Amino acid sequence: MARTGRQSLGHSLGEIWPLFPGLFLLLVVFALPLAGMLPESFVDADGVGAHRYREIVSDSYYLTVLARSFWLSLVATLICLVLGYPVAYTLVRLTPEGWKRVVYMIVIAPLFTSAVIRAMAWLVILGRQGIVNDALLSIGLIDVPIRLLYTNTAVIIGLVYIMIPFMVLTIAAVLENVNSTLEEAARDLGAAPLVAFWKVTFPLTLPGVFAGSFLVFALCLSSYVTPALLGGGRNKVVAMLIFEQFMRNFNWPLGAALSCVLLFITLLIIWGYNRALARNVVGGRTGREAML
Amino acid sequence: MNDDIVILDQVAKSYDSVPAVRDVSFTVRRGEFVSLLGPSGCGKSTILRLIAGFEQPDRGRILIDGVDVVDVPPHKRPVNLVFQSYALFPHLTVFENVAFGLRRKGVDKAQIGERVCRFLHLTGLDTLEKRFPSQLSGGQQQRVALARALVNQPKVLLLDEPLGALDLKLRKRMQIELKQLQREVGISFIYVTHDQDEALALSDRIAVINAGELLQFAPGRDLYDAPRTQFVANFLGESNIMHGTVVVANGRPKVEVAGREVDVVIPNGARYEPGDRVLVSVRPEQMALDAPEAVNQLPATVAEKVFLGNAFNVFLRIDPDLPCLVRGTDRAVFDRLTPGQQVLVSWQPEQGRILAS
Repeated sequence: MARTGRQSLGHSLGEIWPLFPGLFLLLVVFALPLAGMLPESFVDADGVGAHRYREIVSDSYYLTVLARSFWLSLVATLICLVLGYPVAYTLVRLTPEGWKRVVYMIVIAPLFTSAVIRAMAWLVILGRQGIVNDALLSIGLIDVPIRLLYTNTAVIIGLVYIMIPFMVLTIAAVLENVNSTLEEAARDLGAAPLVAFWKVTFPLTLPGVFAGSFLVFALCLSSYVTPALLGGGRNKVVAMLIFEQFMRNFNWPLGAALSCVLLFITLLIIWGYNRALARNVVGGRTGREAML
Repeated sequence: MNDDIVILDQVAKSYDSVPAVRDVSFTVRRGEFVSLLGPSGCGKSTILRLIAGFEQPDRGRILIDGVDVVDVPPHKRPVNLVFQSYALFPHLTVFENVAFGLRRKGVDKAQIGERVCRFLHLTGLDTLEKRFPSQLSGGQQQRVALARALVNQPKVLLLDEPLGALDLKLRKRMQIELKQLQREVGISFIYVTHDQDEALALSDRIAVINAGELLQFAPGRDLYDAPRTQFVANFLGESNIMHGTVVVANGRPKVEVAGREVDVVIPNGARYEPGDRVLVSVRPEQMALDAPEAVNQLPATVAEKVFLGNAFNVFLRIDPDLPCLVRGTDRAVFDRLTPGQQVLVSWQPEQGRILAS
């Protein structure tokens, strides 16, 4: 099949030249600075050594911030998935086409505003005299304003709000290619509507689920503005920590080391995910293939 | 009554007040092979989806084995549908595709294995059970779709142009296989097609449908020999359709066509008065050229002749606005003809039929 031929790396130059501009850009603005960071993390005024890493591993403060970052990202990703999938599903099956375009626009619209503005909006909503507290007070559910802002919950709410379009769009792109006739066929063969979805449509959209989760997880992990504004100073995430080391403490080696740890753990997760995905063969087409 | 497995009673369905199915009624007997034949967009697939439960009728009743199923959701109806696109599950093997329906019913494992294997064998797929649909040819996918539906032993199998995606040779072969398969399993088939040859080759009875209306429902042979309307006469095979006026000669109704009186068959129960404008239909192969002893004779001019291999077509003009097609197999006749030549076209009175307008 054509598919197997494409998997081999024996491409002729003519086939792969479109890769070069993008590859070049990635190399210059991403790979090279990254490569520069690795030696940076080992070198400082005292000489060469891995003591920055030892410091990170032995200091519970750094470990807590790292763990919190991953935990917040994971929870935000799962919520995005649970909330985003039904939206993508409804969106893709929506008729007529005109309505579909409208809903697509609604999903994309928040992306036109800066993350700072959108996080600020949540300050208004979640604050002590914010909309949520006002509403809860007025219906008598609470007597004193509850603390919503500057909590992990606030960060998760903000992250979910910022990231959900990416989840919806990624899953919708895969769902568009899953013929709705398949679900009808399942129903015809005796599957109730939910069973038909779970046994047919959902497995076929796993590549989109994985790709969307990945994208959102990576974006959450590296996000700075949302946790900084909604989490306050106490609920730091690793991106804030790195920013502090570079920009405030001018401790570049520690900042570089933290970045490398973050990168390493992220790569580890990607690798694990891909392993899991490779085993999840979808009709002779792996989720990984659809993702890459 | 007990012999009817499917009954449609005055079933109607509109989309945005555009009627797709207009008060269609017909019955399918146990073990019968029925085709719904019509041009694309005539509503035949909608009828199939109404029976399968994917569409709700605006009014009318649909009975399957005596039970009104209008309020029964698709997954609880005792019918299965073979989709035009096959709709095989790409993430499941051939075996799992075929086993899908049985698993939903909670049939126990050993029995699933046995029944799936039996139907894979029946459809000639024994060695392919571990393949994925993307690794199969079009014909093989078609068979998987059939096996996947039949393994559930539905009371009726619905097929939506199942051979439409196959090339001509394979289609002809699958037609014969399908017919044999249907006889073996003894299940009623309702088969949607726009291909008249396919409908004729496969069906016990054919329902001709146009613009959401059931025009005629009869065995293929009857439809061919005695089409009731112009549409049926044209859609099933070819027909020479001539305008005429009813006249009475020697106490018998005749039709005057192109200035000559011809004998015709009048459909049962129809009454015509002298002066009525009617259509007379004659099949091209039932017309003869230069047969002096024939009753119905019309002079005509040869316009063109075309050799077809096993037959030939002669295009004639009886009048400037009355073309006529004669099909024959006698090569001596064919060789003698030249364009522009004057000939006499004729047919037996029982071959000419008056059509309902």
